[in-house]
Amino acid sequence: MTETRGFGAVFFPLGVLATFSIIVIAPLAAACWPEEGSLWNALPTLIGSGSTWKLMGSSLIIATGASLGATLLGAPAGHALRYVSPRVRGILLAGLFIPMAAPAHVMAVAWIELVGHGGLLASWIEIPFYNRAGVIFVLSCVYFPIPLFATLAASRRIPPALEEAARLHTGWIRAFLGVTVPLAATSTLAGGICVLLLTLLSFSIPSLFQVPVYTSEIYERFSATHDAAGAAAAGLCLLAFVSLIATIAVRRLRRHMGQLQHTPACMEPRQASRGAICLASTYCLALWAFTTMLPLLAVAVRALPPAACVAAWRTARGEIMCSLAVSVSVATGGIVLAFLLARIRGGMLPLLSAAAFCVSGPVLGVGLIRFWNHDGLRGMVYDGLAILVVAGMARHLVFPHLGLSIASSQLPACLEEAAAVHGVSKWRRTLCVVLPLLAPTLVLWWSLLFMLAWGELDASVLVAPPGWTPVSVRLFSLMHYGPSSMVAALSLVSTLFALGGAGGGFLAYRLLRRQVYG
Amino acid sequence: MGWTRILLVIALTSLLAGCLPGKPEVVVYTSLDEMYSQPILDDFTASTGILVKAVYDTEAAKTTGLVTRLIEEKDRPRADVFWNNEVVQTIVLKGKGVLQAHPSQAAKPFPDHFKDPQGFWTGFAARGRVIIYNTNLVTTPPTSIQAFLDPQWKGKAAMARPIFGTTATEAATLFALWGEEKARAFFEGIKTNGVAVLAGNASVRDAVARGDYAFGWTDTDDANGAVEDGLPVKWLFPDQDGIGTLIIPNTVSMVAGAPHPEAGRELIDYLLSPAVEAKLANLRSLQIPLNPNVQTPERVPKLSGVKTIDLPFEAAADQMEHAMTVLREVFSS
Repeated sequence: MTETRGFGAVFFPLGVLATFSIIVIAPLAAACWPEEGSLWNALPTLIGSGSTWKLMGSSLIIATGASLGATLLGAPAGHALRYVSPRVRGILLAGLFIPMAAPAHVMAVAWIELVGHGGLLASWIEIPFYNRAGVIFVLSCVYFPIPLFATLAASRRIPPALEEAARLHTGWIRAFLGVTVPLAATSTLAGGICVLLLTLLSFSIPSLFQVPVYTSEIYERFSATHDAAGAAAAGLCLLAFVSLIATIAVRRLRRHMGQLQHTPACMEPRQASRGAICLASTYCLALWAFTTMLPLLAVAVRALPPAACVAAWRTARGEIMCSLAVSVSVATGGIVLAFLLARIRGGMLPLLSAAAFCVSGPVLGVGLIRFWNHDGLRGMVYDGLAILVVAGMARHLVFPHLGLSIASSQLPACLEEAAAVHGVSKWRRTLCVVLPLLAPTLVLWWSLLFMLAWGELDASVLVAPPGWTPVSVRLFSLMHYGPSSMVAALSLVSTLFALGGAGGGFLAYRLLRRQVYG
Repeated sequence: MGWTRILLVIALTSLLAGCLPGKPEVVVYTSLDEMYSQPILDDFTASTGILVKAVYDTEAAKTTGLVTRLIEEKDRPRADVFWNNEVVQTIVLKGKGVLQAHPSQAAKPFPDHFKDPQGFWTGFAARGRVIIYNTNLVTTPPTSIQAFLDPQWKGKAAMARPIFGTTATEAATLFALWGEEKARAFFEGIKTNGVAVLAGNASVRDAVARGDYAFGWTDTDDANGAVEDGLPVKWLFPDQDGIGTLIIPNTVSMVAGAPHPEAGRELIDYLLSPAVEAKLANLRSLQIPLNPNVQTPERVPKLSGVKTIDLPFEAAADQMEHAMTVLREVFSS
């Protein structure tokens, strides 16, 4: 199929690429641009230093532990959810997603309030959080939804006939272990590797628990010795390491991914026995209570009396409004840009988006200052709330970018081709064919991006304009000197807002999905 | 009305609003805890009508500090005034050309030791680095920081990570006072003796008050907070028979190329006024007034009654970056 390339067809991708460059590439380049060669001088010193490798080792131990823990918690739930009724599954999924929707530092505080020193259950069980095991435990409880969703998605593609055939020859358990688990294993493993990569990059939880990791090396280079070049070099090393793991994982996993690729996405298994359904539901409920309800309940108890929540709202009303405005703008702007980028289908662009996330918040923050803090239009952006929107978009664009690229590539090409044959321009095809089909996915990614922007701290803290403080920054400050009831109350209020955004988006997704796909 | 017209009206209204003369404002970056600094900045707005836009630090969380931000913004500063809760980082900023001199009349009464001779910064409302101890666990409290090396206290003491905040200032001071070899040996000894290294000075206070540790190294404001809350702790100025106690003032300075210089100068003069020092002394933070014209409240220790470390702050500032590099190495594992 040939198509005449008009003015819009040429300049539209250029405009999208220019926007992407201004928001993501330029700050990244500004952060890593060598100042009189200082970055390149810092790299050999960094690589040759024993402490670099020691910290990288510590990060790797924590990431591996958290990945294993999250997979052990999440994968069984992913399998179990397949056997419960669709209505109950929806409710349980929403509940099990909460630990990831709440800001990570809030969940860390929640666990300390529950079983840390002086916590609600400390007289029965007290966990010493201030070590690697504590960090691994909390990270596992925060990130287990990733392997859960990965496993559920794969297990729902398994043809029930395969499992039934196995059950004819052997028992239910052996069929499950011999057929269902191996078929979903690649996806479960992919989820585990996602957790590994995210925890390698995590900073707030190890920092709260005083456990030295590689990301703390980057932060300390900035704040202790003001060594921006050294921090950028350390950020680049982290980026290289994460990229290496991701590349190896993708190559290895791709070989095994094909098994379920051509089966329909939602295949319900035959009605399981009452016992199996009961067991599955009990495990999911227990997991939900353990990882979500108990810690958040501890925060709620600490925040009592209710007046503390009102006081927290009054104290941080400005910050909450600031975060709300920024998060909505980040989510909306990010989705529009990610959608347009997905339409362009540039092969290297998702990698650049990923680089902005992996290079760590402060490195990106410095890049944002260097690029935007100039007179003129850039200065106007830097001096206002817009810089927080730019920071949030630059840092988290990778997620909707990758998600929408995949979703866009899976749309049936025949629909667009039919429109093109009738002479409909690319712009109109995007608006009238692709956009309605992707609308549910766009809304889902909007809510995820809102949630990420709500908890964003690392880059925002460096560029927050005078007079505007996001609630995440305020909460982190309060954790230092504020009374614990106020910290708990604000944590609760902050979590409710994050969940409100995510929940609203999820409901809109369900509605749109029903409208579009029936 | 079509969409184009609506958008045009919105754009024109925004443009006009932007062109109207706004309220005078001043931008301050402050690392003093918001709970103490905000009421003072609000008072300034109430008395002058100048709107204060503040950016607060989150140093304990080890997020990049305001100092890094000021350095990065040097070519086009957004801040007018830097109100630091310590002094050495301010001197580092002076060395990097981030500050400009403002020889304020209000700085005249302050002792020379606590102000820059060229007027780049002025120190006011000081805190001391003190030993806090749990009265249920300690009968004879340690009176020197050398107690952190004493095997008798192995695993029973706590301090903040010495690469941030006032603990970093004290570490740099010890490097300047003792030389690298002795200072390094001291901090390695601390590590060997199982001293707990916590998130910040407030964490040290809380851990000692809970009885997790017998004693710790913190600031007067944190220690006094615990005493006022009725917790089983007391505090003392260490090394009164030896090197003395480190007294660290707040510092206020003018940022070079400040966008609102007049309002900035006004804020600096206000912060150095006796009223502000008196207010800070009367708060829980118990900050020691440095202006001799300020009446020191009874509960606040008098500077004349404390033996202080006899070292210019510039010497500590010279050691800062090197000391931090060494200490990051010592405490990296």
